[in-house]
Amino acid sequence: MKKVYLHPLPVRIWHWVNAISFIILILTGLQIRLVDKMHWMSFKTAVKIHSYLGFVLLINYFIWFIYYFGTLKFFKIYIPPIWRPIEFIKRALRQVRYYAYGIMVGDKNPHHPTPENKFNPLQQVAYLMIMIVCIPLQLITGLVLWDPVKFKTLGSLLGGLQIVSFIHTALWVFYAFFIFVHMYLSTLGHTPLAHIIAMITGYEEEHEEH
Amino acid sequence: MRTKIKDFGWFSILVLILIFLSFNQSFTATTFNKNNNYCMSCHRFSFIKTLPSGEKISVKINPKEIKNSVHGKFKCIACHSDFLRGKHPSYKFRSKKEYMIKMSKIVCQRCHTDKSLRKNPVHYNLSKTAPCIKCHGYHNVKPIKVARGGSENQYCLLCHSRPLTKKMENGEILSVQVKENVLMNSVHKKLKCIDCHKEFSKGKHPFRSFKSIKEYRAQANNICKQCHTKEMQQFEKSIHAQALVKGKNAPDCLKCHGYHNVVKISNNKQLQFNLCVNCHKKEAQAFEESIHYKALSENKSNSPTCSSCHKAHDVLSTNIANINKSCIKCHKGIKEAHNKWLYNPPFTLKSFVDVHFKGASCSACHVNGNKAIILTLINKSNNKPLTLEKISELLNLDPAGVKEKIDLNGDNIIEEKELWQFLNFLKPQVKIDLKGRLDIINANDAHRIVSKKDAIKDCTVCHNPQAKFVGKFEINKEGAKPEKINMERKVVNSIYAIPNIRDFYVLGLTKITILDIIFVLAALGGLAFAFGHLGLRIITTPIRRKRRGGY
Repeated sequence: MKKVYLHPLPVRIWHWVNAISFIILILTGLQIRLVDKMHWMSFKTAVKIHSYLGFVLLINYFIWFIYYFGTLKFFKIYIPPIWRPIEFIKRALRQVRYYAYGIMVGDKNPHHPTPENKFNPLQQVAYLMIMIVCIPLQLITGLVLWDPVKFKTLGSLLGGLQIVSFIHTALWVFYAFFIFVHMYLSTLGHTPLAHIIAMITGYEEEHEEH
Repeated sequence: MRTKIKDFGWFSILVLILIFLSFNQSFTATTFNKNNNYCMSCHRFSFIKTLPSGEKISVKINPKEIKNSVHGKFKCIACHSDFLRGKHPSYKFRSKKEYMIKMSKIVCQRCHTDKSLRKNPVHYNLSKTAPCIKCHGYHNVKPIKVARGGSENQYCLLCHSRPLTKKMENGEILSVQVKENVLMNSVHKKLKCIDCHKEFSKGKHPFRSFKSIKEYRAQANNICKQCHTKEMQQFEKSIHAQALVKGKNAPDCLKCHGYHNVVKISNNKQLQFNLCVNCHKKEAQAFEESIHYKALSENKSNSPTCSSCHKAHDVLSTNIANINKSCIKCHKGIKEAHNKWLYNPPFTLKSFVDVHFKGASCSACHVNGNKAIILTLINKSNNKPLTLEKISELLNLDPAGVKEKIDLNGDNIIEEKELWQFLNFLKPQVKIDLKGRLDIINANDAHRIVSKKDAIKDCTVCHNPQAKFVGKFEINKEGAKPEKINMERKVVNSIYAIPNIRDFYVLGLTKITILDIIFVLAALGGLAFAFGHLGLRIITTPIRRKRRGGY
């Protein structure tokens, strides 16, 4: 069985720290918002965990950023070939068709991941948006809400605390959706654990499917 | 012979004339003495005349007083011309005041006519403000030159030490008496009268007319302003000054500091407290329940008084005064003290304490009162509260009409829909924002500060969607306390709060409720996608097996 080294160590560390932080942040966020309905932990504990993990996520983001920008892999892996838009759209539609139909009838995944072309077109757009827009926005809005006086200028630039809070919460809502979809899609390897093991070892054994 | 007879004749006429003259002179002197003796035979006794008003007038005459007065050589009837031996009319004055006015006219003005008084306009003007007797006394009339030779203050006090009054156009009576001992005990004891009353001098006493005491006092503020410019500038910004402009019974300089008895009160906290209590009795009662009053009554050097929080001259409406700043002014190191437990980990930043100090009043946690989320309309162009008067002007409605426009169904509670509608109505006229804060409902409760150990430390008292807060919509008024109208609390949980209440965010309390529902839907959507896709894959397993050549 062919093995491809898809996930270097910094990426794997980043991914798992990110994953665990995300899940806990979503849950503590839920506890903070629904303090009157949920009693998993005290409000103070939830805020404490949420704040600590927020900073963990912030540092972790810089690991990703330094690795991908330092190695210039970001541009190869994350930037869709907008200079070949028609071809990109066709590939994206093929990928949609695969997930919606092909996978059901036993078609082969049209995307074959390599270290330089890790993501299929749908992943490429989704992860680019998540890493360049959603997570930075989540971190920035989180910082403003963490200390609205310290980050007053940032808050004003974003349109005020209510808008900041809205963005932070709206992204929280999006991640609640994304995390289930992402977790499910990670089971679509040649075995249900193939992609997950790959994210632990770094080696993807089966790259015909995603 | 004929010549001798003629000479004798002339001599006889001369002798006769001399005899007549000497006889006449002796007759006049005798009559004068006789007349005075006649009057004094009774008036040397302590006779008291009781007037219908109940006032008493002594009619005892001190001959020495008359002798030393400018009228020392006058006989009684020179002034009291309607009195003669055997003629003693009985006057029927109702009061001392009437007595003084009428006697001044009957007695003094017989010689000192208006025509003669006009030669000295100051004196003439004065004569129109008070009866002669008020300044010159009864029988001890001194030559005015005596006073002119003294100090300026003595000159003024010559008249003003007496119970002079000034009548306003509306009939109000103002005492213009200045008691020298009061003046000498005041902080202004080293000043001359004319330092304050600049338009007056020994040679100048303009006759002024005021509609009312209020109008008179309004001008009196300008006297203080001559020296106390800074204090006056501060005062002019205050809610008291605004109320005065509106014609309300608000304090001016004199109301707090008095007229001539101005004393230094900045070192006497009890005096400062008493000053405000004169009008703010309810607030004083509440304050007396506080830990602050306990300190004040124990004469603690760092105990606060009213002006410690509200300032002395630039007293502002409490919703814009930033009273929190006043607390911090005395409670130095309070940020550090709060920061020991009030911080957002992993760092203990003092700015996180500021977050709370800005969004909530100190009394929200340090008073056991009912709490409210208070929204105030702010004019974005100057970042100041939009007053009811200004809204009236902008909407071309009277104040009652404005309130009807906010509370459309008139149920005395502003519903969510009503508020957004009102804002949409107002927005084309002025750039507005709603500023929110957490505070106690009854501003007077803020005076009942409790001790530190009884203060709120539980975050969920506020950071909880079910926190016991009511909603209040606050409308500021010029020169008056703001009006708080009941408002649906869920206004702050509405999606419309995002563009309208931009900077008011309290974790949990102001959460946009619909986002919780969307969160659940999103999570369910994610699960539905996963299980839906998985389900389809399970259903389609036979197809895949068939394609792989299986069964």
